[in-house]
Amino acid sequence: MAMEQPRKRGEKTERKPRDEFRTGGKYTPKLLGKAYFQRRRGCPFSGPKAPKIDYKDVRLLGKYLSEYGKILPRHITGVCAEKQRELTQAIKRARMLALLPYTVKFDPQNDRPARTPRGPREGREPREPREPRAEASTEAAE
Amino acid sequence: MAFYELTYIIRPDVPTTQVEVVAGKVADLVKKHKGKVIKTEQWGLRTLSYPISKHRKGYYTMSGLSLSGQEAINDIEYQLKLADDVIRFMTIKVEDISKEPSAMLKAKNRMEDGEAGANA
Repeated sequence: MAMEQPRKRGEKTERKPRDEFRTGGKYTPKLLGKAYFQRRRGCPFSGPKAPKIDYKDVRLLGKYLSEYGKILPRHITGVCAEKQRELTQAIKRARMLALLPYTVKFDPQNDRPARTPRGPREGREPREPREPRAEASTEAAE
Repeated sequence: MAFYELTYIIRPDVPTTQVEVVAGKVADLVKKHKGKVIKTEQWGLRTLSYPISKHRKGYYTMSGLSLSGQEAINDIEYQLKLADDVIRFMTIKVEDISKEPSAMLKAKNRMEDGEAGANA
């Protein structure tokens, strides 16, 4: 679908005739038309009830990080440019204080972080000794 | 006069009283520079998102300060840098310091809801 030019509010434009939907036919997103492609919500930090962007609000900032801990781009989150700058600043501050991670080891196959960021965890689990290698070396020696 | 927020992390393997000691030292420094400590928040022992000098946890303290002049900030930061118990600190300039507990404390209190001694 070609990018549609942003239309001014109240401006009238001619609408293309909608695709017909027949019973038993395939329901593709194309049939949904404009509503499917151009669902746009406003900036979550604009408006009267918007939350304040603060480096201490870890729970809020966490929503704007990818599963690898990277800051999500604006076109995904819908944050306006001004607030994105504030958000970036806040996330970077929180990272400095180890409130948020710089990076997360993420395992896409398990679909969860390899290292659990939350919850009580004392120390590191003991590493399993690398036995196969040791065996291989002794075999080679024999 | 300007407002600053000072957040620092104290290493976890030190007695809990050390948190108060460092907070007292900061208060003294602020007094020395004729500033004011507007509020102090103890976030308690938190798990760090990544290890800092081999520590996985730390005691967080956040305080709102009112100071005049860059010199005061420089001195406080210098002293924190020298303090062995402080593993990380950050001062930022803020417009104002709200009297309400920060989002961090609110989240903590929510978790401890129902339990006694939710105020820190």
